[in-house]
Amino acid sequence: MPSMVLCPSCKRHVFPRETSCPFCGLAISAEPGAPPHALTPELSRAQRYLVGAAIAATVAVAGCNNQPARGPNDVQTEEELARERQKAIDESRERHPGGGPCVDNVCPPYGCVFPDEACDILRV
Amino acid sequence: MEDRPNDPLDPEKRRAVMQATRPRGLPLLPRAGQMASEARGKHLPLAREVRDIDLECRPIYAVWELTLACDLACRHCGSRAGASRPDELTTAEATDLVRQMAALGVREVALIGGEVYLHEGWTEVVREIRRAGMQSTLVTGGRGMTPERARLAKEAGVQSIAVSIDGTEPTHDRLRGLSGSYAAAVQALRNGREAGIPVAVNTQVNRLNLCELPHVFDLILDVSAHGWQVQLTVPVGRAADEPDVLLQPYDLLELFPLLASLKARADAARVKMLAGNNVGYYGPFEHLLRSYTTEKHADSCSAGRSTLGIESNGDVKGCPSLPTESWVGGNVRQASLRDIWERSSALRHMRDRTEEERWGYCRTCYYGEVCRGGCTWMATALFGKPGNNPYCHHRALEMQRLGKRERVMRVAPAEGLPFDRASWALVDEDLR
Repeated sequence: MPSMVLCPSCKRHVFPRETSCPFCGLAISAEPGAPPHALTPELSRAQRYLVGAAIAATVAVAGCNNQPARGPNDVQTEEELARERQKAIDESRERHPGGGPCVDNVCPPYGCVFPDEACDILRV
Repeated sequence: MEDRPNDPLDPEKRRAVMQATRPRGLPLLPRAGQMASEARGKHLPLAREVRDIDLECRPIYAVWELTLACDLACRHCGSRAGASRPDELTTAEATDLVRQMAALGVREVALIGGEVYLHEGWTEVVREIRRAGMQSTLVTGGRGMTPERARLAKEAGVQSIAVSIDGTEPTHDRLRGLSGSYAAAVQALRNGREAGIPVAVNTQVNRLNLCELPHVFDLILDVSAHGWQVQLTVPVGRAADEPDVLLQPYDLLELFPLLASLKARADAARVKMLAGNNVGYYGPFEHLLRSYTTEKHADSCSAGRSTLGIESNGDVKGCPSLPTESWVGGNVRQASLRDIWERSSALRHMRDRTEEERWGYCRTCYYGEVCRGGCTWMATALFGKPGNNPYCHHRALEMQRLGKRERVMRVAPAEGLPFDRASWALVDEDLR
């Protein structure tokens, strides 16, 4: 299934291939390497200058770091994915202190809503 | 967002619909040999080869009509439940089917009816589901969910009971066709809680109860239900007999802001509110209503891809609500569940869909490639085939933008069988 992104302005889902939201006209970033789910408003010339300056400063700081900067197309390792997943589970537990993890769960909207405390095995 | 929607029925019309008598007499006993027996062989023989896609698609979620016997005769019931089917699975056959489900990869089994507790072996079936390592939930109208039955359910291993609540007491009793059914349903929620089972509420939305959803939510808080599943009343079975009760597609313009408002309240109260598969699609509240999904928006129909439906005589469908006549892929008395799942054309249908299947407005819709015409149940109930669904928020908004709206109009009644359908016409008209 094609993934869709949410327009921050009108809250409609749009395809990442769009250059602007078909519902409200908000411009969508199409820069090479941009995160696929980024939706950004059209910037004025002055705003573009400020953003450019901020990026340049960030790159300069990153250049002093021994850690290689992560490229936009770098693949996450299994370990990183596991860490992210655990973080999401922990956040879910914080939000639902009485229940267990309910991350990426399948809660099929038919029949009976399943309680949070047993959702952990219902993942795909 | 608003919490006080306009009533789609004016007072006079509401009074008339509330007082309308049943359009058909009861009981509506399906005649032996009249129901699924013709459909059972329709999609046979099974394909010789199992393809990769058939192995990739696994039925994670099974919804199983354990019996069609029911102690209610709800006026919107799609399966026209009341009497049991003449050829229902025995307890031994049912427990064997449980084991086949587990072997196929099913993780949760939701038992529905009829009324589950009217099947003589219902607790044994629940025990087998739990023994096989699957999760067990149960849906009930609640009329006979006594403290004793709730205790039996707990002992057997039921992990959640969902009770249908359809509005305020007068509206619920009107829709269920029985005075006292609301009180019984509320008591069933309390009995479940007292037995130590988490309870949830299911609500089907129509013109009689749209403006009463806030009342249902108040009840959910009152009984400490953990979940609320909302779906639209679909014109199959008895629901097709009363067109005035059904929402019109343009009523979604009123419904969705209300659902979004209630979803915010549900989140705050830690009630898991789920929009059913036929609550569609992609309007400005989609990300709220489907925040429980990984993608935060609806997927296309999951029938035969991750969902499995079983009728009480062992007929297998991709979704429990799909019309029997054209969607039964086989019967477990004639073939194994695995063979039917992997090799029947009816179960394969949703795995093999192409753009060609979409038609009408959905053919050129912006969301067509993702949504694929939305709920097959709704589309098929209206038009006899999937791929075009006017009960869509995006579509209603686009129509509104053009100064139009769509109205469904019944042109011929249903025959009177479980999951049957009437004939409907779709009328484009100017907004008034």
